[in-house]
Amino acid sequence: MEQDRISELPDEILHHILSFMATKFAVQTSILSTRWRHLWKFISTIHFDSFPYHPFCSIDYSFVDGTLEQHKAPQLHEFLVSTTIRGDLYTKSPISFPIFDLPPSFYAQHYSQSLKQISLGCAHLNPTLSFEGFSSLKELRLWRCKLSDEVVQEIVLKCKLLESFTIDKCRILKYVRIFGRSDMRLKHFTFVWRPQQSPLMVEVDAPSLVSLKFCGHLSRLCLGELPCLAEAKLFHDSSAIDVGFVREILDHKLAHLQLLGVDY
Amino acid sequence: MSKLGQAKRIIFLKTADGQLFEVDEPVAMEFEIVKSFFDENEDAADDTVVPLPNVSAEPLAGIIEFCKAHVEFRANGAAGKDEVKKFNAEYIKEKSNEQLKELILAANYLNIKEMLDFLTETIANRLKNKSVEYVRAFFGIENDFTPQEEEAVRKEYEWAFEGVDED
Repeated sequence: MEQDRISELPDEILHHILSFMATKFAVQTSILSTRWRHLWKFISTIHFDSFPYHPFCSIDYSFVDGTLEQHKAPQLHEFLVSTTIRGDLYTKSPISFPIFDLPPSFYAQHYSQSLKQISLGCAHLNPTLSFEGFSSLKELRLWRCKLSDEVVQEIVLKCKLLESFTIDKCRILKYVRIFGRSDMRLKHFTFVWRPQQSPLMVEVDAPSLVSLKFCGHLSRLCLGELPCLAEAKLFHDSSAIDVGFVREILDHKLAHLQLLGVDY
Repeated sequence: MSKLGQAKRIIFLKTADGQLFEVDEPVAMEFEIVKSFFDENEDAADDTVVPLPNVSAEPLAGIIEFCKAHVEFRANGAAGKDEVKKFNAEYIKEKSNEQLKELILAANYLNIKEMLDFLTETIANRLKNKSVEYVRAFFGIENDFTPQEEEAVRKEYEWAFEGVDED
């Protein structure tokens, strides 16, 4: 009796349960029975976590494309891909990380309108020409991704609800500009330098910014008026710091801060 | 509908196994199905008994306990705080898988979104890293694949089964 009742659970509930699982596990449930064969395709979160990174062999990321291709839910709220790196490998730089290309379907309308949270490791972001921005996106975290200055700008301009943006050791960036509309919602911005990267400018001018975290050459950080900024954590990554410069930021730009951490 | 200054309204609910529950209005209105019952029958008498033919007494008592606590959390501005997480963890700790499934069926029938989210996430956590056979037993699933079909599915999603121990 009990078993009959539970199998009465409507598909939507099962989709819901599967959405809370790591996607790898959700896909595995396709083997349970013919009813479960396609249930996973209706998950509302895609979550590839902790794929082990091997230094000498590249990862076959075709499952990410395959999953997006087969995914059928009208909406997707979260998309997360992350790679784990063993601590001892992490410290040996430079390591070239294998990068995977996000398929064009990722920028398609039904995703771009429903995604609220995106977290990507080692991905190549290259939006299609018709990309109109992720209109529901609130949180974006990019770690060791490959993207151009133009794509950063496009994200900032087109993702109108974006509140939290992290750019962590991403490659090929030269001049990062976080600035745009006066109605920008961005509250939290984190930028972490890629040590082996050639000099790079980071300009932040976001009217609603509350917290800023920056790791890199402080002299490359250019701040606009940040009237809401309450918290700044600045980490300088080289011994040659220009004390006068730091004093200038402290005196002029960040005088109203409640919390400031500077480390060098 | 009760107005300010009036005595607290009680809603009467009758379960499939014939038990009558008296529930404070704000708690009963957490159940979408009860809410729409009164929305559709605006002139329903105050002592109207709402029949719940798909829910038995045990899960309903559990659901009332959960919703009552959450209505209070919201009233106290504690929603989303550690207090709530602690309550949820305690609430679910003693529940068996069977009870959990009964609660899910009932919460689904009563249409209580917040509780349903919480219960489905709990189920997902309990199934984490479990074997195919365990999950089949949990849901009462009968494997109706032929061995060839099962092998074909396994092959199609080879990447998902890598590093998974066979039962």
